[in-house]
Amino acid sequence: MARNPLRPITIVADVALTLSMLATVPFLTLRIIGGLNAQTICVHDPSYGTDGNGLPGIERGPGVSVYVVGVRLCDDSASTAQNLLDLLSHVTGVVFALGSAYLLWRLVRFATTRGAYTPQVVRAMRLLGWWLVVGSVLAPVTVGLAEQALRASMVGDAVWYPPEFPVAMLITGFGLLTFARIMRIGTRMAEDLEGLV
Amino acid sequence: MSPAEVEHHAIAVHLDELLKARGMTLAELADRVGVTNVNLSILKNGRAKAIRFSTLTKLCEVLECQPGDLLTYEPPAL
Repeated sequence: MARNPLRPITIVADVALTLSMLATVPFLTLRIIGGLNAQTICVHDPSYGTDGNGLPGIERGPGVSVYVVGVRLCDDSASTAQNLLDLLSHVTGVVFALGSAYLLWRLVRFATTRGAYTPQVVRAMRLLGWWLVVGSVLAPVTVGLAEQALRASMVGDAVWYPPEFPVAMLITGFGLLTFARIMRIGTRMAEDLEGLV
Repeated sequence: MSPAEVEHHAIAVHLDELLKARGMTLAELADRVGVTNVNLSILKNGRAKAIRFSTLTKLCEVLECQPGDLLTYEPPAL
């Protein structure tokens, strides 16, 4: 008997969704419920650096220099706007990851229950592809803007740092969009074969 | 598949008449041709989208007929 071709991705999708739910749902709940009235809000600022040669506890070898890059800015009397920005900077990536895991699980479920070469699978694959492409750009930009705004609210001369885009995720998204087109052709061929005697 | 995507054709299949003339059942023909009952039924009811030359060959062999006896073009009435 032929092995189920969907078996490897089924396991990955189930595990990814389960772990994502376990890790993110409590986090999201806590952040959204209790995240808007935190007194202290902190943000990383990589623009500051200093000589760290005098730091205690670091035994430097000959010719080795120590630099401290980045500081942590904290506001002990955070406003609601700062709370919102902090929430946005933390929740965006989590929502993107959770959404990706769900859309992958949904795609695999359609392929398992309705067959791999079906219009539902093509649509689910295209949706996941677009989610990854758009999310790979939007999520880092959103986080970058929120952190930038937070830094600007704490120090006057906050420097803008361009976000790092997850290139692998972006390529995966475009790959899925391409495969969705190939699958659409395959789906039509499968439909034709059903009527071939 | 949506109705709009169903390919229209004007080919009539005369499997019923040939079976009657040969005194043969659909199951017997399916067995001798080597296709499933379901597929032969799809062909008989005009729901097939295409037929393999190998299937047509076997059908003609078993039914002792020509492809034209099995399939005819029937132009739609104007």
